[in-house]
Amino acid sequence: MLASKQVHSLKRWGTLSLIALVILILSACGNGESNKGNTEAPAAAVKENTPAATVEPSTERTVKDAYGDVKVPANPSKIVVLDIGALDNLLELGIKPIGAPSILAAGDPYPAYLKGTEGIQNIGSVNEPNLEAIDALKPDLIIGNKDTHDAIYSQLGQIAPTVFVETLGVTWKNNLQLHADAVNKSEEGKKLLDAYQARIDQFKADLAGQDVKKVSLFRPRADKIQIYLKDTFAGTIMTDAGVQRVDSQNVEGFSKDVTEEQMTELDGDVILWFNREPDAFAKLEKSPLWTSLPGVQSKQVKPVDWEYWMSGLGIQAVNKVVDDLHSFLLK
Amino acid sequence: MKYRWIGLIFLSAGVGFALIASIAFGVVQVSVSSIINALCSFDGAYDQLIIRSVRLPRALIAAAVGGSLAVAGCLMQALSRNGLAGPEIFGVNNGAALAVVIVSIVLQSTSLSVFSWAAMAGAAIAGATVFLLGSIGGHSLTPVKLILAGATINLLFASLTQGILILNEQSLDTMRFWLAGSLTGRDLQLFVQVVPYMLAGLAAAFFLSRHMNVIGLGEELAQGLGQRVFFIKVLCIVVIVLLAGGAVAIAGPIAFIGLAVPHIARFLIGSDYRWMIPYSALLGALLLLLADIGARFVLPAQEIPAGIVTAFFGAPFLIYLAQRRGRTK
Repeated sequence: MLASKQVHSLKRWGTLSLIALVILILSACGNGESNKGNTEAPAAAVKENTPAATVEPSTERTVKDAYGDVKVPANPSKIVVLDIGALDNLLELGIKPIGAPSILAAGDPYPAYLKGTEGIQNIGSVNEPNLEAIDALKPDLIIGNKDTHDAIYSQLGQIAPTVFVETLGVTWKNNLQLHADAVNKSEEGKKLLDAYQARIDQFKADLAGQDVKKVSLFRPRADKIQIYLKDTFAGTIMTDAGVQRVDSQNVEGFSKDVTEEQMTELDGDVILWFNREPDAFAKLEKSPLWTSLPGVQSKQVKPVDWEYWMSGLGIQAVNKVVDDLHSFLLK
Repeated sequence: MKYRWIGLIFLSAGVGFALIASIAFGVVQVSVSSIINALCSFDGAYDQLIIRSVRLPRALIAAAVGGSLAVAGCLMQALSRNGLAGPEIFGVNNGAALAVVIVSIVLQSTSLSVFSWAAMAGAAIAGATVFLLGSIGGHSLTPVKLILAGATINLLFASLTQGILILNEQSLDTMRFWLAGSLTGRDLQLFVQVVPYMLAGLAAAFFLSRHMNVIGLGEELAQGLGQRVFFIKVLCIVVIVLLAGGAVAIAGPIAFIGLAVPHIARFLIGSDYRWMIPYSALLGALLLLLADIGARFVLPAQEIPAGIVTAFFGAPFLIYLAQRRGRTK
């Protein structure tokens, strides 16, 4: 009797400790997140208190963005950007934003190809910018894009004047111009575009003298393979540069999903790929269908950096892509 | 008696045809001669590679996973004496999902073999937890206790999984495909590693089928007939975890096969578990093969996960079942 009672209470303790364990795990998860948020905010506040006093309310200029005319400070000095395209462009124009998002998860480092990002405050991720963190920075200009941030447009407007481009990617030239205009550097923006045009014309001329190499560009993912078509960021640069795509990829549109059965569509004289999921390419590479592709057998497979081929979306990324095309296609 | 054997032969033939269809039809058209050559005189041509490295493993996996899930569902319904129970009630799917999500974040991996072992372990932990909770207290492992413990653990694991995914957006993106339950891109090697567990589970299920009939009579009666009820129940749980755990390890959580197939089997041959289990195994294989073929053609030029197809057809079936039960009472 006594023994059975003991067993019974032992079991009860077992149940209770199980529940306690679960609660512990749950609360641990919660704490981890909130701590992260807390450490960021005060740091931001401390930094911003000093320069805030020195900013003079100077005259305003009018810029035309995706929503219409918007009044911005003549020389904005505390800019928060909401996407990597704007971060990339502004850095190239010689302006360091005070706040910028990570590509995927809040707090991730900025893309490695971008130099001079030290000291920029993290404001969340591109898809989920943290409005409180932005507000704490007291910006005088916010640069975003309508595609991603339409839902928080009015809230952002209460923090600071906003300049929104329509979308990211294929419109990168217009974006650069608008970004340059927003920070009162239209001339510099135009110069950057002219330099790109000159470079790409030269590239095109050099390429014309060589055997045609058809390029394949795709992104292996966990469950599928995503072919990047002409209406992508990298696709527009390749079109500008006169690079020929593989026939099945020489079509309008953003991307097309294929399965492992359709691997022939990945073949090309030069096969470029990038991915964000670390094991997706390793899996692809193991398939006998992959190794049977002529381009793979002649070792023309080149991994490229997703940070600028896919997610950079600014002028520096553009130039890096052109660098890569140079090394892959010109002798 | 005889017609049951004939039915079994018909079903086997059906599974055979579905296997062939699964190999023959896909996004890329493959000629009949390539199929025959791929199997008999393989020369490494692209079409033959498709057959051997993509279609054949996929067909075998679909059949094994479907059969295992259906048999696990059969045992689950017998054990819980509840027609609306499936392997999900043991928290197997959500336990596996939680383990996979945690492992993928900790190891920063999307490798399917890592996922498989995590899923297996998660399924086993979930099964063991439900078993422990269900056996605490006076009458242990009664149907009501099992269902309550299972439903609770299931929901707990499901909400933990969702919570983690919401906090970690990036893993949500990579995990979506696994959580839907899919047969695309599964590796034959992986299958070979998991299939012994499934075969052991199937064999044990056949052995258990006689005892399941007795358990179906009710606790007291079974005990009165000299059955070691507790032992049989424990064995049952182990087998369910092996079968459903193996299935979820290869294909991710595929819903409704485990719930629906035992009912179809019961409709065909009555509630004798000695017949229901082999019928369920074959029907489950057939159903998942068909669902997987469907998954390739529902949307043009794009595959959807097979788990979505089974859920799509399974949901109305569940409603029908619940309705019918209501009416008979």
